[in-house]
This record gives sequence, structure tokens and C-alpha cells, in this order.
Amino acid sequence: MAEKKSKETATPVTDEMLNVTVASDVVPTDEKVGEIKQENIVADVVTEPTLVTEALTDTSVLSKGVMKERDISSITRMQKVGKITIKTIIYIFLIAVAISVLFPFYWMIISSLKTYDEYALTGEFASRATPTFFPTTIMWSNYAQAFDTANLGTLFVNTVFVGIVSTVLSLIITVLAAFAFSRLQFRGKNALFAALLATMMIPGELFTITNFGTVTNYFKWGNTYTALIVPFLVSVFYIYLLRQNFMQIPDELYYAAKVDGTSDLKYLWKVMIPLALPTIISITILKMMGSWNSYIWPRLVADDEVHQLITNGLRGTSFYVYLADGTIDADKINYPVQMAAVTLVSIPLFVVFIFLRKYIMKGVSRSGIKG
Amino acid sequence: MKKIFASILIVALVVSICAVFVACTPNEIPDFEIPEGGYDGSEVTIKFYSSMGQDYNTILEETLVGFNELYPNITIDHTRGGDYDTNRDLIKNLLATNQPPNVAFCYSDHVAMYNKSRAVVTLDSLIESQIEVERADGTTEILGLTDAQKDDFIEAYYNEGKSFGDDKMYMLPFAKSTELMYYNKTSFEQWGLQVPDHWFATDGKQGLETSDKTSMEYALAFIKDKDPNCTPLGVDSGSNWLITLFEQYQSGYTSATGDHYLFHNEQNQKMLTTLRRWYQKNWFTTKYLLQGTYTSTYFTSTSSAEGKKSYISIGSSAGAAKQVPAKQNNKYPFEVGVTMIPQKEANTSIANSKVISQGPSVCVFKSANPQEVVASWLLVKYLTTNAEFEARYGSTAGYLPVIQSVNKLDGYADIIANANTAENMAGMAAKLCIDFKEAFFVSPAFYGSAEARDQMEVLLSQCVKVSGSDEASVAKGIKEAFDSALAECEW
Amino acid sequence: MVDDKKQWKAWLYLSPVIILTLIFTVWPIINTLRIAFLDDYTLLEEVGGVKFSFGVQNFVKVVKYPGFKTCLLNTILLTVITVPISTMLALIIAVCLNSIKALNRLLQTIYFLPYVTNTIAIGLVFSTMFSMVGSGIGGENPIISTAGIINNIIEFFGGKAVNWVNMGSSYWANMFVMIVYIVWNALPFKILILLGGLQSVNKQYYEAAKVDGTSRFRTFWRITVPMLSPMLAYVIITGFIGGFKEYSSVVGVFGENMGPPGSENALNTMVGFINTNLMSGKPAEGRASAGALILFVIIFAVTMLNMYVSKKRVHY
Repeated sequence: MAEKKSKETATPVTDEMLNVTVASDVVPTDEKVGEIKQENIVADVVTEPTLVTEALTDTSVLSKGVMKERDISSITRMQKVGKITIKTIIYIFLIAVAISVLFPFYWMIISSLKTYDEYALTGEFASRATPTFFPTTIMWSNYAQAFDTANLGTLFVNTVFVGIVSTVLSLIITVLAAFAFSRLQFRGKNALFAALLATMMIPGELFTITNFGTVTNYFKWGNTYTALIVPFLVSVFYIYLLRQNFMQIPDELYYAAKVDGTSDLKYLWKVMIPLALPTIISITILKMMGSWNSYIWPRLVADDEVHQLITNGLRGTSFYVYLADGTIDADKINYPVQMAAVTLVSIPLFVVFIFLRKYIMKGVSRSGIKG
Repeated sequence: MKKIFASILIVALVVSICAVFVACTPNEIPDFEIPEGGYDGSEVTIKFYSSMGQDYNTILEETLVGFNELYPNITIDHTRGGDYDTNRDLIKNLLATNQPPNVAFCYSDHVAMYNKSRAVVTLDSLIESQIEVERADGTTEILGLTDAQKDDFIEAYYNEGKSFGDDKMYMLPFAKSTELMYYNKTSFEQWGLQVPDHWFATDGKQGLETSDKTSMEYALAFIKDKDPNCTPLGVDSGSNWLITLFEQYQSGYTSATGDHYLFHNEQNQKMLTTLRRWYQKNWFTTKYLLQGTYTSTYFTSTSSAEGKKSYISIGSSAGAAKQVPAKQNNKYPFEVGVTMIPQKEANTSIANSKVISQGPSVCVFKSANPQEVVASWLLVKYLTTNAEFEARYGSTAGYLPVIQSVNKLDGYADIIANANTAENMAGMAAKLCIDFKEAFFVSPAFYGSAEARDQMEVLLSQCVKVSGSDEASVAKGIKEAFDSALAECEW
Repeated sequence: MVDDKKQWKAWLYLSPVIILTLIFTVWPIINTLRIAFLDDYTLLEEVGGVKFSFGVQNFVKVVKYPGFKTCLLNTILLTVITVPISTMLALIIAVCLNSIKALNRLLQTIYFLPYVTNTIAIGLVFSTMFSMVGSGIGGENPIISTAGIINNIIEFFGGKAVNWVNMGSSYWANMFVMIVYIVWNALPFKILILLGGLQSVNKQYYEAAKVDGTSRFRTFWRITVPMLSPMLAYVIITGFIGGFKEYSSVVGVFGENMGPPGSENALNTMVGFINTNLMSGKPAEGRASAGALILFVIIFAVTMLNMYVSKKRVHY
């Protein structure tokens, strides 16, 4: 019974889900996707209440019959005790999870502030068996060393530059395409949209090989910012996301604007973009995060230091321990400095997250794609 | 609607088929031919990719000024491409995009890779060329190498350029290093222990039982007996060790032609079984087995606590200075002796000895403009035949010069002549390398030779760690390690 | 509705997307097929004018290569282990989180933190947490100054220190670290989605169940799980797809050697296989393409299977 229903009234989220995975055979019809409520993430994942009621009847939970007579007061007392115990267990569990989530970050930060000896328990710390949980001397200089050794300054600027340029260009392309797909009528619209969605199924690694050849061999973009930006400008998923958003804007507004003689682009700029701003912000952040986290592609196309991105600097750099006379002790890796580099790389994302938490979580709940 | 979709597909297909054909059109670059008159003095820019560190870069830049005085119209666009592997990847990508550089630092396996796109110039015709070239200071030189210049190169180094199996010359040597054996002279003398000159005991007996007192087998057992806490021998490069052993025993390593990988055989497996026995008795360790700790730290250590002390160290001549212990109260805690690494047999003459040599060379790439190639060649020739430059670079980088005339330079000759103490270990190493020049060999170069070299390191570490009490299970474990190394090489 | 002027405009607006997709998506698909079926194809040789014959050599070599089997096995293991664990854990966390009021916001934010981190960067942190510190680890006489914080914790509870990621560490120890890291990394997204689903389940049913005296456990299985089935299907499917593309988490923990020193590539994955063959000193684009196609087929098949199962099981 449940199966039959699912076919008749698929919910928005399943639509979205199916499109991500096997988009080719389940292109949503315009009516269905129109139901997405942009303002509320939760609403996107709501299963329709009426349906749920029916499903519930199936599970026969309700049909079990009437509640048997019991001593009401003893139930309430037992329930109260039980409730508090369960609440306590739940809190302990949740806080334990929170601690294990936070621990790596804590460890990263305190390690980044230790001296090498304190970290490795050598020298004056040799008598300790376990590491210290808070640095005894705080080594801010680790950060300076990390910044210099891993060339983070350049990498940071590169990453921000690539991130901003590709986000801006990508947004322009996405908005135009989403507008065409949502507002304009033309032959082959649905077929083209379906074809685009179908490409989302293919793993990106399959593209890497050829795109590397295309970018370096035909376009001669090896070691340029262009190579880092252009291949990733089109994201079918963002087009899809924005198209759904645009479709919720009533047609009447468009026709009214047409009557007033407003051009398409002006209408897009003045009406549609402001209305779809939350989605656009989500896309912007996700795209920026993508540049921040990208590793394989810049590693491939940019093998000179000048064009690499931040992640490449982390795994590709050796952080040395400097001896008293200024020479390098090649046998040791300076983990505190390495951790300082890691912290430096992580901080910008945290800051962005704190300020734009709502948009990030909203965007992520729809994309399911990390970065 | 379907029609449009279909037509999009068709367009895409047509576009890509065209692209396939474009890609398949052979764009073969013919072998290089020297233009008549050689270098005509025209203005060219040469893209030069090196793996120079900052220290050596200054020396190079200064030398390039000297070159430009002779050839002011040749502009050198010098890029420091990072370490050897990074430089290789950089050049690989340039080649894949059809924009080759002109001159590059290289190892022979890099050249084998570059040659997949047939991008490297064979130097034979340039070397033999008798064309006279005019220089800015009014003098002339012949484009090729004079006989004196050719003879000046240390033969083994020079021949590395021809180790590609087709007898053509692809690169000129730039700087080289070799493996040497450093030993704790003080302890050896104190114990009355002879310095080993060959590896395995000739009488087949093990440890102290052998009467073959100049074998490594005996020396290691003896040292371990005297200082049970120590690890008697430290080897920096397991790859070099195995490759040298295979060469000394002629038991097969690789070949530049035909079947590339020859190391998978019983003789080599037997050799590794012996090395496993040594390792299991804690007689030696390697840098790889120590997770990257240079074995010189063991050798220069004065305390055998926790096994971190060795009495023999086999390492690169380029790292000679690192094999000297730190002074205590202005005195060295022990004296260091340095000599040739052990051979197959006792008392092997230098001419019959085998010692691996390696280090960067330079190669020239093809170009549409023949003047660029000739100019590049002039640069390569200037750098490699320039005794002063070779001496400066060698003494800074710890590498050995590739030409013998360096030794006649006043400064360098002095260094060599006075190199008798630990104060000048690098000089001592350099002196030995001059004496040993007849013993040098290079391993064959082909596409994948670098992989084979890397696999030797893995092979050694896997073999020595094989567990098993009876001979059969050990033999099986060792064979499996060989199988896996071969599979990785052949991939 | 459809007038010619509009048609022209629509195509104009779409032109960047179409052109870029043709170049960077459609052409790669065709080209990957092409070079995968050209025997021993390499880019350098093609530049050098070498002609390759058509054949299935690349696939034969890939399938026969022991290293590829390792990659395939690792990828499958990591996926089938981490996806159920992280999904279950995320479900439990989401249900618990949904049942509390105080600290809810804060905990939600904390749980989401791993999502906004750089996979490689935090992989390095995990690597240091599990590492022993000292020199010569894995050798005969390692000098260990500290067994690493995770081992300290284990020892504190009376356990024995384990060599997790250093030289000489066992395959399953390495695997364990990867599983912990991948689960840690995968939780935020799953919690977010499941929590969103939970918050939208009508409270009435729970109240009805409560009145009915249904046990919590039964309520969970009979109401929560069926209600959440679309979201569960979603996180499982995306989890599988992500699992088969695992790569940077391994690079984070072990570096590009894809394994502890001494056992390089022991933890290599399918994507790692493709990348190694593009970037090594012996590039083999043909075989990398063959590997990519095999990966595509696997992901496609697994997704189809997932879809099929969820169509049968998911309650809408």
C-alpha cells in the first residue's frame, strides 16, 4: 500500500534525491518541484502529514485498542523517574559525542602551541609518560614558522582569488541558465535539462584524466589560474537548485514586468535574484568551500608553487625542527608547526561557518556534496 | 524536443570525433640536425629548468654571467623547478602541452620518461661537430667537444648519458655522488678488527665461526659480540645497496632493452635470505627501515643505548660531512675511516670493483628553432666543461665534479691534498672518488627504471622482515616479496 | 508561447553552460572511453606521435594488477563498514538530539563542525593523535617518547598501546583509524538530514503511541524509522557514492603514499589508483581511464541496487 502511494505523490525531497542519483529517469515535473518551500529547510524534508497518517494506520500502532486501566498515579511517578533517567543518559551520550567531535580540534590547537620538546616529550619533558593537555610555554612562533615554511601567504591569496573569481563567474552562468530553464520556453528544454542532470551521475574522476589533457594540451593552461577556475564553472546541481527556486516566483510578476516593458535581464536582476537570495548565498558559500578544500585538481595542473592552493601546501611541505645553531634537524618533523599550519588553514572556514551557519546548513542539507 | 536532444548528441559526437582525429594525427618531431654554420649569433631565449637549492643558485647565476659575456644574444630564462621529482613533473606537463623547455636538470629515468614524447635531443652529432662558432670576445670555439674535453670527463659518468640501450647520447653529466663506507677507525684499531672488503664469508660459515676475517659477515658478528647493544652497520640507501650487490655478483637487476626486469631470480633471493639473517640478528639497519632517519646519526652517536649506535656506515659521498661525530672538548670522540664499499671477493682491484654512481645530468630538448637547440647545447657544454664552476658547485653541494681537470685547479687540489682528517671529510671522500673512478657503474635507464629503484628499497625491507622459523617458509616469504616487487615494476 | 525571439535568447543564456559542458563533461566521457580502449596509452607518447592499437589491454592489466585489487578491496571495505556505522550513529544522535531542548542549538552546531573542515588538514590531526612519537618506530629498537594521545587514553583504561599508523602497523589498525576518521567526517551531513526529517514528523503519532503505551524501542522502529526512510535512503545512497570516491581522507592520514611507511599503497583506494597513475613518475593515462570506467560501473550498479532496495523499502 505504501508503495502505491509513493508513486502517486512523491514528496519534494525524494524528487531531489532521485535527481541527484539517477536523474535521467525522474525529471521532476514542474508542479511537483514547485512545492519546495525555500525558507524552511525542515519543510523540504517533510513527508506530507496526510500520507503519514495513512502509513501509520498500516503499522497498526493505533489499532492496538484501548489503553488498559492502570493506577494512574503510579504510572506518572514511574514515568517521571524513568524520564529523568533517560534524559540523563541522552545528555551524557550527546555530550560524549560532542567531546569526541571537538577533541581533534582541541588537540590540533594545543599541539600547535607547544614546543617540539613538549610535543615529543623529549628534552626537559623526557620524564613525562603522557603528553601535556595544555602547553606550558605558548609558542606563537610556530604560527609564524608555519606561515613561512608552507608558504601559506601565497597559497591563501591564491585560494581566495580562485575562490572569488570562480564563484562570481559560476553564479553568473548558473543564474542565466536557471532563468532560461525556469522562465523561458524553448524547444528541447526538458530534454536538455534531463541530459544535464544525467551528467551528475558520473564520478568526477572520470573527467579528470581528459580535462587535464584538454587544459594543458589544447588550451595551454598548465600552471595558470584559468586552469583552476574554468573547468569547474558549471555545476548542474546549483542550476537545478536555483531553477527550483525561480519557479516558485509567480509567473504573474514576470508578465506584469513584460507589460511594463522591463527587459529579461532587468527583471532577473530586480526581482528574481533578490527573491532567490538565500539560495544564491548558499551556492556562494558551498562554492567557496569547494575551492578551499580542492586538492586533486590543483595538485595536477599547478605543480609550480605559484599557483597551488592551500591544501596542497599542507601535505606537500616538510616542517623541520631548527637546532640551536640555526641548522635543520632533518630527522624530525616539527609536528607543532605542522599543526599550526593546519589550524591556520581551518580557521577561515570556522569563521565563515560561525557567521553564516544558517545558509551553510541549508545549502548542505540540499546538496549532499562536500565542498 | 527529442530531436533537439538528439542533435545535441550528434554535434557533440562529431566535435569529439574530429578531436580524436586531430589527436591522432602524428606530429612527429624529426631528429635534430645542426644548422649550417652552427650558432649564428641570433637572439634566442633558453628556458632552463634546474633543481638548484638557494645556495647553489648563486653559483649558477654567477656562472651564467660568464656565459653571457661570450654569447650576449643568448638569454637564459632560469626556473628553479623544485626538487628532482617536482622538476620532473613540471617538465612532464610542459612536454604534454607541447611547450618543451630547452635545457633541464635530469636523472636518466627522467630522460626515459621525456623521451616517451621523443622530446630529447640526441647529442651525438653536436658532440662530434667541428663547426667553428664565433664568440663575443672575438675568439672561436668548435661547436662539439674537443678530444681533450671528452677525455676530461670521468668515463663512467660520461657513459651514463648512453645508458638508454640504443647507444645514443642523451645527456651530459653535471655532478655525481657515489657510495662510500665509513667506519669507526678508533674502535676497529682498538679491537684489531680488519676493515671488511667483501660481503659474504667465502667458507660459507656464519658469524664468528668463519675464518674469513675480512668479510662483512665476520666484522658484523665481531662488533655485535663486542657491543651487544649496537646495530653494527647502517646503510642509507637500501636501493643502492641491492643494485650494487646485484651488479657485483652479475646476478641481474635491470636491462635497458628487452625484458627490463631481471632481478627476480634464485641467486638474488638467496642473497636476500642472507641479508635477512643479518637483519634478524640486528646486524644492520637502513634509513628506510628507520622511517627516514639517516643512519649517519647512528654512526656518529657515542652511546649504544637503545641500539642507536653503529660502527660502519654506508652512505653517499655527498653526505660525507655528516658522518663525522660532534666534537667533545674540542676533540673528536673517535676517528672516522673511509674506504670503498665491500665487493664480491676479497682484494678486488679497483678496476674490477663495482660501485654505483648517481647524480644529476643535463639534457637538451628539441625545438622548432634549431638555433635554440644549438644555443642550449653551448650552455650545457659551458657548464659541464667549466672546471671552476664544477669545483664550486661540487664543494658547496657535496657532489663530485664530473671532469678531472677540476683536480688541477689550485684551490680544489689543495683541499684534496690536505684532506686527511675528519675536519675535511668531504675532501677525503672526493679524493677517494677520484681514485675509484674506474669502479663506477650506472644502472640502466629506461621508462620505469625509477620504479625499479624504489622497489629495491621496498624489497629489502620486506625480505628482511619475513618471519618464519624453517627455511622453506622463509624462502616462500622472500619469493613473495620478489613477486610483488616485480608486479609493481611491470605495472 | 514559443516565439523565435525567446528561443534565441534562451540558447544565448544557456550557451556558457552548454559550451563548458561539452568541453569539460561530454568530451571527457568520450575521450575516457577512447583512451581506455587504446592499448598502453600515455599522453606523452601521444604527444610524441605514437599510435596506439585498439584493444582491451588496459582493462586486462588493471584487473590483473595486484595493486588494483588492494584498491578495490579497500574501497569496498571502507564503504560497507563506514556507511552503516555512520548512518546508525547519526540516526541515534539525531533522535536523541530531537528529544532534548536545552543545549540543542549548541550541540547541533558542534556536530556540524567536522563538515566545515578541510579533509586533508584534519586528517593530519588524526594522524598525529594516533601516532607514536619518537624515532626509529618500527625498527628493532624504536625510541618512543610517547605512545600518542589515543594510546595514552587506551592505556589509562588498562588497555595495551597499539601501533596505529606508524611503520610496521597492521592493516586492520590502519583500517580502524580510517574508519574512525571517515565516520567522524560523515556524521555532520547525516545528522543534519536526519534531524531535519525528524523535526518534520508530526508529533501526533508519538503522542498516539504514548497513549497507546508503545515502548520507546517499538516507537523508534515502527514510527521513527519508517517516517525517516526517505532521508535514510538519501544519506545511505550519497554515503555509498561518497564512500566509493574516498581518497583525500586517506591522503590526510597517511599522505600520498596511501599507507604507513614500509607498506605504501596498502590503503590505496579506487580514486587513489586513478590519481597515482596520472601523477607518478610512470604515468599511464590509459590504465587510469580503464580504472575510472570500472569505478563508474561500480558506482552505477551500487546506486541502482540502492534505488531498487529503497523503492521496495522506503515508506512515503
